[in-house]
This record gives sequence, structure tokens and C-alpha cells, in this order.
Amino acid sequence: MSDDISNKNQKENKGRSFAESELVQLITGFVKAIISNKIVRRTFLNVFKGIAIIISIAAFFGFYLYLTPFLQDAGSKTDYKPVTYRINTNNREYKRQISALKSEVSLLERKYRSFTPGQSFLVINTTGNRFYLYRNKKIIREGFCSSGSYTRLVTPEGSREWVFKTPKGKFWIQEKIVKPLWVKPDWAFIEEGLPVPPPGDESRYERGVLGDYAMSLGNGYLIHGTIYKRLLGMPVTHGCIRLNDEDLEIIFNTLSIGSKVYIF
Amino acid sequence: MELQNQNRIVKKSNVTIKISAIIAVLFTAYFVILSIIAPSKKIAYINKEFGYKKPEKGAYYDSIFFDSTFITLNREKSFYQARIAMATSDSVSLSVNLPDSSAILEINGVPVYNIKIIRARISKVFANSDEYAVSSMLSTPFNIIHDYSTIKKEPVVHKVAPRDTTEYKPDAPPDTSKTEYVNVIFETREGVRLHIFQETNGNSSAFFHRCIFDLNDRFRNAFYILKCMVNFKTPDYHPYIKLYIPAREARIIYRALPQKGQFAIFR
Repeated sequence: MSDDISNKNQKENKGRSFAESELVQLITGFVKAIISNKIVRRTFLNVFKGIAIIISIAAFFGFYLYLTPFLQDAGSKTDYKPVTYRINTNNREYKRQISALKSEVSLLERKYRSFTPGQSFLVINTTGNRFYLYRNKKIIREGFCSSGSYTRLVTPEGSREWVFKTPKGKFWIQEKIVKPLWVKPDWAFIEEGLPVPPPGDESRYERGVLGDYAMSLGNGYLIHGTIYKRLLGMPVTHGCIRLNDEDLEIIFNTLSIGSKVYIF
Repeated sequence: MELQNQNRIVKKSNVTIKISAIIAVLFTAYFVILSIIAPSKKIAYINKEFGYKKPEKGAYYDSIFFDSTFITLNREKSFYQARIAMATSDSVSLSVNLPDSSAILEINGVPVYNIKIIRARISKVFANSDEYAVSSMLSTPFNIIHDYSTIKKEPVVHKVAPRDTTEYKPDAPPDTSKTEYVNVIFETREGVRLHIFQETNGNSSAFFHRCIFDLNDRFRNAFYILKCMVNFKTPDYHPYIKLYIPAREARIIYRALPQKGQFAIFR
């Protein structure tokens, strides 16, 4: 039985060594063919050179662009070791300095917190086209709105231009209007290819397009309603902030004249 | 004779290769030395400029600088100081709180938008400089002077008005399905750089765009070091803060901050 197994193993080993020697022969033959054939040899050399050049260039850029900044960061060590252990906390001078620092920090914290109004205020995110209504420093309502489209409108002659963007920063409600009337500015006519009427012309007044309420932020910018409700959440306005009827009513009733509006 | 000439040419080319190799090695060594010196110089500058100056009169308990309570309070104090300084302006600013992994957009001191930072990397200069000096440096906001980004700050669309009503076409709603890869670098007057990278979440295209953006920055940096080498000057090292956040949030930060905006760091 054991003889049978050893014979089988020997046969297998013989077969393997035979296959290995065949493989070696094949490779040697292939190498010999390359060496003997001038064209193949040249092609191989050129391919090898190309690969070497590519690797060198990659190594060169890798060294300058990746390894050096890495070394820079690794080398930015000094003898300074931040020690974070407690020292003699019973020391009178230590106690005095820590308590002075603590009161300084709490004073600064109070000052910083005082910037946030305790009354209601509105935050507008013009990139995400969302609004957040705050009362007592907590969000009480949030939803979609529409802000400036960032369109630069130029007259065909190029003599006048407007950029329809919502200004960013801190504003306050300057006026609250019920059933607002839209006094159409020049761009509203130019945009539609209509002749611009003189100021005070009847065609400049339009009712109902701004919704039931409007709140003025100054410089002609309003927070108002819209008839294009499907466009809420998109940047499509001429700089004003559009809201849906329900949100507009809540915001109108929550904010008062002087309430802050933060736009970013 | 011909063989001699050939040998001479081969020798000459060998010498040229050797000289070029020596020059390349020397150049690389010089480049590396200058690059490595730069952060150490920056640390020395921070320690000297913002380090604690002993009062001429009166005693001060010096060992307190190594106390963890003091360090924590001092860091908090610096962050509040920087935020209060930013609050004096009515424009949008950014507060980065690294221990909390949050970035907050603020207007006039009012936090208006909170962003979760997925991961962050901070230059070792901050950790290896004198603790008190770094806190002092961070007690004033950083002022943005320039930025590099993959998106436009203001995505303005040009439109020529129609001549009459026959030419008029109503505006189509904006295409919100377009993918934008958001990667930004803010350069500050103080030399610190804030990188805001979009977190790729396994998206290979987003990763590729971030790599290209990063590679461009590395090229700019290498070119800057080369320029300094030519002028025999040590390049100025720019400590960095790298924030990885979702693309939507990165876009909001970039578009909200004004061209010459400010940001504060709490570490």
C-alpha cells in the first residue's frame, strides 16, 4: 500500500519537474528568440525604455508633490512637548489665575450669546433655498423658499444691466404690507420685450402676484408670496424671497417691524 | 580613428549624464532642505510673535501654562475672542470647532447654519508650536484674501433681453440635477489655509475630481518653493486645516462666505 503511494508521488514529482523544465525551456527559447531577432529586441528595449521613463517621471512628481509635503509635515516637530497634567492646584497664585480666566471666559461667552436675538428672527439659506424661523432661539418652522436666480439681464443695446441676486448679511423688517401691490420696475418690462412705460403708468401696477403679505427688507427687496409655487426651493427670483402662502402667513404673524432677517 | 572618436563621444555623454545626475540630486536635496526648514521657521515665528511675554513687574505662576484646565480655558477664550471679533461685521463668517466636528456659519455673531464635519486634518504646526502662542494666534479671526475652487462663487447666467414680445421666451426652471464637485481652498492674510473638500463616500468620480484639485494645489506649492529657491529665500510654510464635508454643505459654505470673509478655529 505504502509502495503504491510512494510510486504515485514519484510519478507526480516527475510530471511536475517535466512541466517545469518545459516552462524553463519555453522561456529560454522566447528570450533567445528576442535576443536573436533584431526587430523584436529593439521593440522590447523601446517598450522597456518607455516604461522606465514613465516610472521615472511618476517618481519625480511623486517625490516633489507628495513626498516633500509629507516630509514637511513630519519635519515640523520641535522640542516643545505639550504637557497636559495637573499642577499643584492648591497654589494660591494658580487658583487666582484660573478663576480670573474662568470669569473672563464666561464674560466672553455671555457677550457672544448676546448677539443672538431673544425675539423671533428669520434665517434664509440662498444656496439651499430654505428658510428657518426662530423664536426664543429655537427653530419653530422651516421650509422651502426661492431666492435670486443670479441672472445677469442686459438690454439688447447693452446700455443697462441688472443682476438678480439676493443680498447676503443682516437685515431687518422695515415694513409689513397686507395685500401688497407690485409696482413693476423697468426690468420687468425689458425682460419680456415690452416697451418701458413712464413712472406712475397704470401698467406698472399689478395686484395679487406677491401673495397676501409682504415684508420689506429695504432697497426694494421683499419677502412675499408667489403664484409659481412649483418653483419653491429653486433660485428663480429677481432678488426677493418667495414663500408659499402658509409659511408666509406664519412668518408675517411671527415677525414684527425691526425683527432681524439673516441671509446667507 | 573612428573607434577613438566614438569612444570619446560615449565618454563625453557619460560625463554629461553624471553631471546632470549630480545637479539633479543637489537640486532635490536643496528643495527638500528648504521645504523641511519652512515649517520649523513657521513654528519659531509663531512662538516668537504670539508666545507669552513675561510682565516686567509682578509675579506670574509660569507652570500654569502646562495645566490642562488652563489650556482648555485659554483655548475657549481664544475662540470666543475670535468669534466676537467676527461678529462686529454684518457679513457671513465661519467658526470651525474641531473637537465638536462642526462648522458654523454666523452672521453678526448669530449662528445661522450648522455643518457636521465628517473628518478633519490639521497641520502639525498647530500641535508642535507653543500652546499659548497658538491660542493667541487663534484669538483673532483669519482673513480670507484668495480662494481656489471647483465651483463659481456666484453662478451668474448671462441673458440678453428680447427686442420685442415675439422674441420673448419664458425662463425654464433651473436644472438642479447637475452634479457639481465642490473642493475649495481659502488662503488667508495670516498664511493659514483652510481646505474644504467634498467627502466622496466611495464615489470614484468625486474622488478623481478631488485628486485633480489636490494635485493642482501641490503643483502650485511646488512652483512656489521653486520660485523661492531661485531667489535663495526660505519658502513660507502655510499651516493647513482640511475639512471633509458633504458636497451640499461645502457649496453652502463657499457661496455664503464673502470674497474677503473671515473664519475662526477652535482645536
